[in-house]
Amino acid sequence: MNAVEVSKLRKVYSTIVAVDDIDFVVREGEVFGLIGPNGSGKTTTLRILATLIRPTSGSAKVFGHDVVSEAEEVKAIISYLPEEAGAYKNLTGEEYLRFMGALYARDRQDLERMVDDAEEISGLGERLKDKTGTYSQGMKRRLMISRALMLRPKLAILDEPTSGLDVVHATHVRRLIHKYVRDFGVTVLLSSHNMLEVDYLCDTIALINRGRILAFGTPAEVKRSVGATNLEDAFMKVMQVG
Amino acid sequence: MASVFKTLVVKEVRDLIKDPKILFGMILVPLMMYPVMGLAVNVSTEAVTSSMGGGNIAVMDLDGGNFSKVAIAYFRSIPNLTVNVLAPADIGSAIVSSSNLNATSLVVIPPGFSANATSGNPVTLLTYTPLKTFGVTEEARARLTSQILNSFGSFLTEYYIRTAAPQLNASVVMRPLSVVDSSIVNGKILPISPSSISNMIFTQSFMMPLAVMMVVIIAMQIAATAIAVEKEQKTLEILLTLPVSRFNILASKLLGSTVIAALGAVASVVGLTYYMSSLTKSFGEAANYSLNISPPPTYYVILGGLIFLTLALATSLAMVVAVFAEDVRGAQAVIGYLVFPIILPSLMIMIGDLQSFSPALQVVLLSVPFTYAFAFAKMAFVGDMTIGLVGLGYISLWTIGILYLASRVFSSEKILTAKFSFGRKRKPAMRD
Repeated sequence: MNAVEVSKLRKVYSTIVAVDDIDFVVREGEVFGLIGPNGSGKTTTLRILATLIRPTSGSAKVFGHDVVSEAEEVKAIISYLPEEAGAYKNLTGEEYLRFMGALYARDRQDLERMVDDAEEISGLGERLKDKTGTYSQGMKRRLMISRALMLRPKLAILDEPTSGLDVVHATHVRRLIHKYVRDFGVTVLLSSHNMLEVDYLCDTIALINRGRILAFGTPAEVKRSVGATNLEDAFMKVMQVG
Repeated sequence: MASVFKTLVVKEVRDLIKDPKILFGMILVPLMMYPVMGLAVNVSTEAVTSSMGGGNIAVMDLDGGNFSKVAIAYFRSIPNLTVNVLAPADIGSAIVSSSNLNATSLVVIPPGFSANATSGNPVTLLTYTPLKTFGVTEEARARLTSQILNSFGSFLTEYYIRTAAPQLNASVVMRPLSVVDSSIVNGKILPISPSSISNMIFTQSFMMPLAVMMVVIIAMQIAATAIAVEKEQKTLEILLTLPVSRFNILASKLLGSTVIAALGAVASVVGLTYYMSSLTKSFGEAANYSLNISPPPTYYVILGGLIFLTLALATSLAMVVAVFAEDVRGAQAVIGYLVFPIILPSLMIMIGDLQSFSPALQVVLLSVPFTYAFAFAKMAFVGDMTIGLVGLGYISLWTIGILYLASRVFSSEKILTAKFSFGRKRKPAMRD
């Protein structure tokens, strides 16, 4: 079964066409990257798949569940990380993780496993006992990523997962994303501006601009299709054509 | 599902109560502020009482006659009053001497005082009272001097009556009528004056609506903050993708806000009760009879229902509006606007008497659903349940309507996309 099936998806905000009749499929167990410049329609697409907003027309399904008519079923199997995400500043990191975990955990043991996972993913250690209001931007982002992955969702929708992280932590997070895909069968749909990250992480990518998909395939296929030596060149060439 | 809802409510309460602005501003400050105010009143009252206990006046006799000696003897006969007799001098020197003696006032007996008194003419006494701090203590001490001189006036009246008509009882002539007041409340005869009971009931029936009003305003602010803070802290998007229905998220926020508002209300009422108890000493006799005219249990049941529904309505309304706010400041600003039309009619009912308003104004006031709890709170000692029962039905309809509206707004995209700044200029947004 495909993890995501998007067909003729369109989203219009009054007069602005944010997503323009796009189609793509994400296979179960792969890392799929939606790549494009600012305002290209990446975040709108991810928000539709996360059930936050409704498409103007077309359809989007997550593991066979329609994101509009079966939103509750979709929410139960996804984990969404927005590009700009914050935590409740008056709660400690651990309280935040426990609150999130309690909504998904089957039992207490499952909840403890989630919190342990999050501690490892975030690398925050004793700082998890502090209020999140005292965290730096990077620490908050690590907390957010650990929340998204500790749930071991069927589909993790990650909007710019490593934005705001230093090189060390960004590398750590990329390895963990690979680990969760390999060990726990998590499918990942992400957006990113970082071409190195995309090349390292993604099995399949779609280059999107002005709401339309301009190129689709493995990073190697996309590079080959435009005669580029690296993904950054490929991106620039595709965007100029688009 | 119940445990998921409980998790949401616990998180709401925990997040709100850990917010220093809410913990201090809405719970700890009311809990401490009113008792501190009460304490201040008590300390001031005791200070005034103790300073009055040892009254001290200076008297300068410029008359030197028999009657001026009678006056000085009269002053000296007053218990706990120190009378310092100054040697005749000019007024300026006498004032300085009086001040050195720490006297409250200087009383001057002018020349001709005894001659006038003996011949039955009006007499005059001159007083000079220094005001330094313009405080309550000075005012009370000046009043003490006035009371001393008034009582001397009564003494003079009795003297005149006894001199002119020895056959009459001077005390009877001065106070020929004695009135024994009784008040009838709910068919019970209470040996208290109507004014005493009115004073007590006005204060008590004012406190209950005041407490209700405070709870409503606090709950609205908290509910609006609970929504707006999700936008401001950028937690809303994740919250809406959790495996919980949006209605449950809304309900948990309503319940969480109400719990915090209730804590705030309890803190305020406890504090206010202590404060008021420090003032109610003046009720005297009426306070002893308060239990005899306390409201029936059904009154509290209806009032509880009205307060609960009013809170549900107020918090739902606050959330509907807060959804459109960009941040916490915007949400609180719009609640400020919203509170005004709620408070104004409620204040009119609290201060005035509903029955005394014109029928048209009564209809207008009672068309506002928030006024019922206030109107009924005032009925505590009257025993009429009608307005409370009507209010339960009327507010229920409003609450259902607004809750429905809130759930519709909450399940729409507006909750994510609406970003009104309510009167403040928005910074131009950077396009992603």
